[in-house]
Amino acid sequence: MAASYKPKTFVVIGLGVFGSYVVKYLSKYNVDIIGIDKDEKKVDEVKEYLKVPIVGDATDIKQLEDAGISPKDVDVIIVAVGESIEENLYITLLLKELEIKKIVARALNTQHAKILAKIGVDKIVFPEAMAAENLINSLLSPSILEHFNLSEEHSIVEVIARKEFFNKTIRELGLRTKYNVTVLGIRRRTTIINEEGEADFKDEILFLPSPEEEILQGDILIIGGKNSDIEKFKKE
Amino acid sequence: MKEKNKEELFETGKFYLINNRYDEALKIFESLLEEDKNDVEVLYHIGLVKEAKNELKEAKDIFLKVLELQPKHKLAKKHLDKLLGISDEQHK
Repeated sequence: MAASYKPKTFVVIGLGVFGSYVVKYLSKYNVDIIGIDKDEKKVDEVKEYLKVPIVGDATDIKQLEDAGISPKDVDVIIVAVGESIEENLYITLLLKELEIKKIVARALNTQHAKILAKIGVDKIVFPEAMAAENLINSLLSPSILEHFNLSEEHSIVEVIARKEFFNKTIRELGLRTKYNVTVLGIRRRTTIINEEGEADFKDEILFLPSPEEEILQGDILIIGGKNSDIEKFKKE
Repeated sequence: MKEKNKEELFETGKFYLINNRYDEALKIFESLLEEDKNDVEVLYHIGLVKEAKNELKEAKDIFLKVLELQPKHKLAKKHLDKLLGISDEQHK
């Protein structure tokens, strides 16, 4: 069996709002991060998370090569540039020429995404569209706290447990037979008294709970299933 | 209400909260609030009960009120930020 490949060195080009979040989240995973932006201020803001901070122009292939960006030394490059489509595309093309192992590019609109797909990037991300979709889902279904699309037809949602579920086991509720949805987890808050003697919550997730697990007031259910079945479950 | 009675009631409310008896906790905290509608600690605990019951809009409003009265109330800020979807990373 082939050993699983884990990327170790990431480059983030463009350290605006999206790029800086990418850097901060990446920094939790014990990987090396090289960050590049033309704006010294933006580089400074995330400097503490970067192994190599670079103030430079990523549209200049010489600067990229001087910064050590080569297929040998870099596993993934994320093009997070969002101010100019032209710049984003130009940088992506340069990286393709350098034969970087994996290129992830941020798209600013559908047309841009189509061009990125033609260039042959490995993954296209659409942060604004994803945020808009989440916002609409949360506005149209206020009982749904989170919504993750698995495919066109399937999703995982986080939904507040209804009153009629309280103190009943998952088996008693028969959600699978009644609605064809599966309880993948339960998010439960436990009230604790902290070291200062103040009341606070501790969140825990019961992952793949047993059918005998009782649903309590305040629980949030993590439900998976077909979108049409989830809709039915929500409406009742 | 005497100060000692207030303290005892407040502790009873906390006891109910810790034991997930939210409605009983709420009753006690609300009776304490009648004595002083700007009692920050009572308000904060009502916010916790509302959050525990997933009455999230009410919880947000109450944590906001706590912060109006005491802008440096760390726990109220933490809970409000969480309800508004602002994580620790976004603070940095």
